[in-house]
Amino acid sequence: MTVTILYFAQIKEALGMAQEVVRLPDDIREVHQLLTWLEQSHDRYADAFARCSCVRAAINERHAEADSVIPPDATVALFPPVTGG
Amino acid sequence: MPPRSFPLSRLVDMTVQVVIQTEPIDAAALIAKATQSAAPHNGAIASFIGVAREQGQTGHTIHAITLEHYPAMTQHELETIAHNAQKQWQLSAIHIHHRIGTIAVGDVIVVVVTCSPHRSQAFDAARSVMDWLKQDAPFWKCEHSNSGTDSGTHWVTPHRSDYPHNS
Repeated sequence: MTVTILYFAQIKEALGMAQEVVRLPDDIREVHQLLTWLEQSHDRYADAFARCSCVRAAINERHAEADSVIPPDATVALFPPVTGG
Repeated sequence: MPPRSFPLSRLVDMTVQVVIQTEPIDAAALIAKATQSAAPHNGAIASFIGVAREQGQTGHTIHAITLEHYPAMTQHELETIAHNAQKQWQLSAIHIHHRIGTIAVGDVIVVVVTCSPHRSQAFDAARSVMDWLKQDAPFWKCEHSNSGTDSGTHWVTPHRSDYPHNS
């Protein structure tokens, strides 16, 4: 399936892009699997994620957990812990 | 003629306000506006004002911060926080204004105003709204410094105290 991935803050800065569209293998269904798959696809993802104490995610503009299932055509946002206020 | 009554649900809808803005925030004007929006029902108004400070997270001097956010998600998150607070503390009004973009030291980042018939609800709501905002609202601060060896940018990381429910 295809998903749109959005990146924010230091992750976006490290990757040099704000978003991309990727086609996921059939066995990548949950957020933690997506993170591992990206890290294993290229060192730049591992480097970008390592800049944060943890990587948080949202699916279709709602907060998601590591084991949240990614639906087809989803927009998945990956970002560091938030620091507003 | 019987006195006019105002259903609470209608009143709530008119008095919950969330604004995300690039323009400077006039905290005094916002507090006055929030207070006025539910004037006959207020007995207590609490406000929190967050300001960009000069000392950065690592102790160096900064001159500005940039607030990045996730536009498609931020408004919804703040509205959820506002409505949850209104429901939990039966607020007569709650207004949240949050700045984005580049913010000079000394400028206001966020204002939360909670109005209630009684002070304890207004105080408790204002504190919890800020706790929830710092945990869940998708904003990210980047500090800008131009002083000596510390010049450059620094992405702020959350303090442990920003996650009171997890500590």
